[in-house]
Amino acid sequence: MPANTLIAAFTLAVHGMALILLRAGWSPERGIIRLPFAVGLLTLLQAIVGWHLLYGAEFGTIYWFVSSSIGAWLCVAASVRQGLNTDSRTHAGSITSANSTPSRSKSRRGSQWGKRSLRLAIAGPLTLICAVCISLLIARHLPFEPANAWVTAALSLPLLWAGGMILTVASERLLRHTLWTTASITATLPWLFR
Amino acid sequence: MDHRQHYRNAAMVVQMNTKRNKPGVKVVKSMRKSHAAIGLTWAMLLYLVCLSGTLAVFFEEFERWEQPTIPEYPDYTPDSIERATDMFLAQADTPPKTLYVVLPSTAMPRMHVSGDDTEFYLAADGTLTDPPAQGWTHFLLHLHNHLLLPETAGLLITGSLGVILCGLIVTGLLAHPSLLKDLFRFRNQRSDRLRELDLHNRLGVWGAPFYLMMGMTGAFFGLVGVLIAAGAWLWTDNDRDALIAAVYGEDIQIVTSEKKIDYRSAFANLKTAAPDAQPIYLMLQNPGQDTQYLEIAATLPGRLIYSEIYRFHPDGQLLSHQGLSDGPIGRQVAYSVYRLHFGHFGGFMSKALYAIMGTALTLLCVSGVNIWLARQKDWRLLHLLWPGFVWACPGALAMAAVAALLDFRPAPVFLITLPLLTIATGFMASAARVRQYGKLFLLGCLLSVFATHIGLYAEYSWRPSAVGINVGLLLLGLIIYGGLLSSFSRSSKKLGPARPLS
Repeated sequence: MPANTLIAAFTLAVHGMALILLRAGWSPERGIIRLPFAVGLLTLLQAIVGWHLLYGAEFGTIYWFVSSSIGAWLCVAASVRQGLNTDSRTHAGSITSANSTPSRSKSRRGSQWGKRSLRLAIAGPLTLICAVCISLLIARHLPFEPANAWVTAALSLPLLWAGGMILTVASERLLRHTLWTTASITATLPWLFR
Repeated sequence: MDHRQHYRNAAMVVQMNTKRNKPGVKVVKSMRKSHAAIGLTWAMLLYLVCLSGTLAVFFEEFERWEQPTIPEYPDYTPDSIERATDMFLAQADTPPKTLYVVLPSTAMPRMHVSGDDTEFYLAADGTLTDPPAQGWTHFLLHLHNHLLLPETAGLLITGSLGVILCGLIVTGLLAHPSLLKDLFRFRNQRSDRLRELDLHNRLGVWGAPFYLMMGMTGAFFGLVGVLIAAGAWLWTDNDRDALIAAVYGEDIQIVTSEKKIDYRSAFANLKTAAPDAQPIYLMLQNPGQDTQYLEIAATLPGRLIYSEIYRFHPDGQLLSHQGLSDGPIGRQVAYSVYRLHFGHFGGFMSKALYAIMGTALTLLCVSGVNIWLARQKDWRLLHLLWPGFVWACPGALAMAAVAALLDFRPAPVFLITLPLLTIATGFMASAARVRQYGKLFLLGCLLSVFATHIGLYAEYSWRPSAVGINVGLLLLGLIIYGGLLSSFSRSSKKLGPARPLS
């Protein structure tokens, strides 16, 4: 039997066992049971070695992530078929009822939509400009080779924008948040034009 | 009420208020608010991009299925490449700055040659055949990459959707305080609302690393242009090529008296210099001029980078390589983004895994809005329009495929069908009815695609790509048929409040 087939079989066995252990370390009533869950997590980490041996570090890591997700979904599906997980004692019920949107008058709805649109406009273009300014600052002033600095900046841009967007949308004080964003843009400009 | 009971109630109220005001609870609340606001605003576009992206994983197979008459062969010779470039340059009014020859691969066993806006498939001996169809696959990729908008605007919007996806993943995880407690929970038999909630949470939590990767790489594609444009404006007098060269490496300059390119010698020298390199395409720079040289792009085993580019003198001598595989780490990362996003590595297995993950992400978009709809106490038109849009999208894509097979432009068909169908669902009695008709319509569309392809290309239907896609269409049809039967049997179940009678 070729070595690769053996490694593949071993990797799949370890990965499968890790997911089974993770599933066994969880119960619908108690949630996480620490010891089997921790063993499952450790075994899952060990499975990455097999994937790396089979496909190298780059492909192996992706296959490990993807097969972990699909394996976990299979565990969830298997639990459903066994009739488990059907209790209703979770936060979800209370949250859903608490979050139900009450009926509102038309004018109130209109003003709510106006505020939401304004908030999203600030979370969009304004935060994007802020993220671009900070990313350019990274690209220009990071003490790396140009290729490394530019790619760091390019990868930072979505994270900065996403972070800013989340904070803007979640913020209770929109005006203060807008001022902070504008101030950040203004502060970066002298560095950018230098 | 006795005073003991009174104190007990007061203590409970204090305890509840303390819980509500805890910083963690506040964060969860604001993250949930943020998740809902961002997700609901962009749900339609996210769904469209995720659905088209899931299909786009198989774009090579779709291209082969769409034009099954093109000759297929697993290998090539230097002579066939030389014949192809000579024929291409002979038919061109002015030689292009760069001439590309894409070599056959396992996923795409066809060669094609292109330069400027002209492109031809090649026969095995290198003679030019048909141009690639600007058909359904082209439309699908344009929809996924640019949402059918002009290039820059479209790329910016899809890049922004990548950012939004990243934001949704982060807020989704932070909004889920009992993430570990609910790790494998799926309450299928409780209520539609809880089922959708558990589906959304389980798909979201376990797939989060993959979705984050998709969001980041998608955003990189869309937004790197913004960064380079801004950087060029600030520091290089709008010379974007200078910045691009800093990231991807500079082009070389040579002067030569050689008129012909020695492909045979170039391939032999590549084999010696990089025995594991697998050539995927060639670039003939400045063809016919005294500055011409050859570049061969080749994949390296186990590497995510799209390719390494080896440069050759026209006489076939290896000059240098671009350093995409061993240059600065940033350059390697930038050149790995494509394969990482589209799953084009490791053969069909990677594509299948990416398709599963893409389907999960698409379902995540749908279930997110379904949860919000199920929470609404009042009936809204959205209770009909959302499932209408969800089912109309794949239906409209299939209609566009039929149109493309019959030589019509697919984009207008899609753009007319999608809103018409979505609006039509607004007149239906219930969401359950919308889903039933949606499935029925999609089933009909899939069968139409199958019948049209078989009708047009019966003699080519044995080809692997045609068999694969056509069998896939039938299987998908069967699954939808099964879903349709089960939905008729439990048609009384409805998601969300019913439409008022008046």
